[in-house]
Amino acid sequence: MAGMLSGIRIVDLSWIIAGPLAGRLLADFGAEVVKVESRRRMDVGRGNRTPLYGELPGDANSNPDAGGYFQDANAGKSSVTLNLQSDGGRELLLKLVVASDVVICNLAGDQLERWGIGYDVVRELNRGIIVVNIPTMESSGPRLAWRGFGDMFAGIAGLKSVSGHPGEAPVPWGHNYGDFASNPFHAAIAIMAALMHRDRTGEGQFIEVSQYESTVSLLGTTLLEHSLTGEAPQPKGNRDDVAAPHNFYHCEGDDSWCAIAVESDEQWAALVDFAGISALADDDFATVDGRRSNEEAIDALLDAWTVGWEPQPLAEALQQRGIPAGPYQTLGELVRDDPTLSDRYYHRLPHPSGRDFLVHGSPIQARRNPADVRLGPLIGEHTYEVLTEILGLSADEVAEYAAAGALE
Amino acid sequence: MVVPSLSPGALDGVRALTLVDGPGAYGPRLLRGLGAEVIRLERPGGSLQRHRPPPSAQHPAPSVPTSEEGAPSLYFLHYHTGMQGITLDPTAPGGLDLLRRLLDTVDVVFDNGELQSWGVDLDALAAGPRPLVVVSVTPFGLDGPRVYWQGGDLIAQAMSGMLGIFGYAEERPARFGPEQASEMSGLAAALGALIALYGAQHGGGGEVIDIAMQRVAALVSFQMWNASIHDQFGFDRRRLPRTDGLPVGLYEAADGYFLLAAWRKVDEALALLDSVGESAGLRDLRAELGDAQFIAHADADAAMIRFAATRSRAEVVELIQRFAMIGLPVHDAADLVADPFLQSRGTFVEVEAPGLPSPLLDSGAPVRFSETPYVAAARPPLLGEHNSDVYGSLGLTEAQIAALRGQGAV
Repeated sequence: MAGMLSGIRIVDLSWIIAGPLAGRLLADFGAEVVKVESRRRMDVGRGNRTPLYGELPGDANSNPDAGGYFQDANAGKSSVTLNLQSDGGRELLLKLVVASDVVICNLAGDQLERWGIGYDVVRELNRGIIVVNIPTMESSGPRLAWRGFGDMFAGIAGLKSVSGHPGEAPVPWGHNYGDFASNPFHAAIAIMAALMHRDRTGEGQFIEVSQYESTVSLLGTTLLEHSLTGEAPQPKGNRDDVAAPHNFYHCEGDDSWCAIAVESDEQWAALVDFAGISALADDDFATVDGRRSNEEAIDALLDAWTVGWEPQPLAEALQQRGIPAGPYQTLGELVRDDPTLSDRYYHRLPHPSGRDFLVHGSPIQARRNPADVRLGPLIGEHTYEVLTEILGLSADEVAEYAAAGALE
Repeated sequence: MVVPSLSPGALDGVRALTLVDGPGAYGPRLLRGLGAEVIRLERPGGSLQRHRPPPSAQHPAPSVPTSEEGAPSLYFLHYHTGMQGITLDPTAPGGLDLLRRLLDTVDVVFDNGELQSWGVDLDALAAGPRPLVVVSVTPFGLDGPRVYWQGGDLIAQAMSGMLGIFGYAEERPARFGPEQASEMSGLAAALGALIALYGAQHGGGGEVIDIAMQRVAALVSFQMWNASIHDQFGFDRRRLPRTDGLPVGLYEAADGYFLLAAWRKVDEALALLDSVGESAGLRDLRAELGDAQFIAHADADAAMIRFAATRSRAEVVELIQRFAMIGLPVHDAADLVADPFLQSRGTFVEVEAPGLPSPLLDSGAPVRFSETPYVAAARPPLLGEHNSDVYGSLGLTEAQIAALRGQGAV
């Protein structure tokens, strides 16, 4: 399938999640993304070597083609192995970059220059090239070598300061938010904007996505509020500035919850009617101001009622009555039993290793030119194809580079 | 990276219309910053967001007026800087026709499902003679089994798994960040818009981009890789410890918290502790226990805690990075605006807030381009401020605009 981005070639030198996901978001819509790897220093994702998750059975920790999150972040890409410690490897990389539209990397330090593909060098050979770096802090300057990872960006950028329950320490480990939200999306958006600028002017550019700065951009009104009041906004738990009640309520079972968000007096009346609890029919609760001043009392009454329900049927019943509600769900529940996601978002793709991989669909649903979700590459799967078809090497030349150790 | 201040942004020439009054407002904000022309359509009474807190009842700031003349709430201010403002009521006589005339002049339109609810056939709109990209942000999508379900950020966070790995076992789940399911939907809306615009500019025609908040936020619950292989679903908050023992976790410095990850970097951790005189006895302990047990030992953790307790986050993190471990501070808004690093980058910009005596500080460019500037923040539009300009550009005379105003359409 051609796709809306067919004809765009992206060299992906990034690894782990934030950088690879930026390329993946574009590969879904037809961009040709060539992941440059080396067997000497593989993407951490290839071997599941993330200590948080511990040792896995079988060869899952060592087989480079068995990495589940590698598959997810690199779906639809091709893979070429180049040994960038060798002259031949760097020579081929430069040729590949010159023959491409975009380079994505998430490198600390001056790695691009050491590989001989610094922006200034490449720009001389390809005026339209767009180079995107996604450093922790900055691409040059005293913090160019600083390192961080997804969850820490939610901390440094202020998101954790307005998350969770009031008065508690920040939640230490969460979902590596920066790796899935601010950083890959800002990088992919910047690439698209730069491609459109290039269409108009013929000029490429260098783009820096500082993961710290990029995540600061998702603070909503937090900074304005600080600027106005002089106070740093604090976590509000589940309280809302407009809706009340607005919380998670305890349901039947361990760690089982249903979110309810009452946005109008009509929704409140429907909830009171459905719950059939006389104490909720208090006139003091009929207006949003009244409910906001009595939120704890209302929460206690609702908790006592919801605990007799399972979250799914409760949410269903509330939604049928026009009341916004939804069950608290973990990934397992989403994959196995969610009407909007299970079969519509998650793809189970058979893989040559004999395993099936579970891969996200695109978060972007395009009706006329839908995303095409494909497997990620085996390591080096497309080396020969890339060298002969994109760079025009002969079979003999490829063999020479291989013999010199340039393709490891 | 010095950028000529008068050069056009990367999206110069792109014209967008936004009806977004709820989730996804970051999308049009970002397109404006990247240089697109963005027109904000409000119903004649004005967007509810003009009156939306913050400031809230709990954090009163009575100096912020929210009059219908357009003095905005902080919410309206943040999401609409630099846009043009028009009023239009598509349910009034002539209103829908006027909207269609306007849509004929734009490249992309963002909404929260309003167009479909007014009976506009989105596919026909996108497939018209002028390619149009329609981006619609809704809780569960424009079709499918939950199309009639309602919900905002709380419901999307609950149902997307976003909170399944955030918080603690048996504790009532609590929302992550300021409306992050909505912010992510804004990112996806912006990216979807640009991908489709690129496709349209290369002969692909218009497109309908359906952004479902639940689906977008589900990207965060990325434990797939383990599930892929073992049909297990990784860890969740039921199993997350508050700290993982040295050298991974949340620690407290003299002036606040920081996060440290130094997996397997025992040599580096000991070198750091040597440099600050806190490593006494630890090398012997390591030799006795081996690395795996050593890093979980209370004495090792205690040394890291002592080292940090008397130093600022900035000092601690500087040392952690110098010794090749990974660590970053936890900041609040006051820390951010005081951070010399962000100040030197020019991360923050002053935004003029109508009705306030002085400008407010907000975030500026999320991304730095070598050749194209991020558009400096300007104030948001007053209600209907650009009616004459925008409707005039459609060829309407002042008299025709006045007539539409009489019908309640403008």
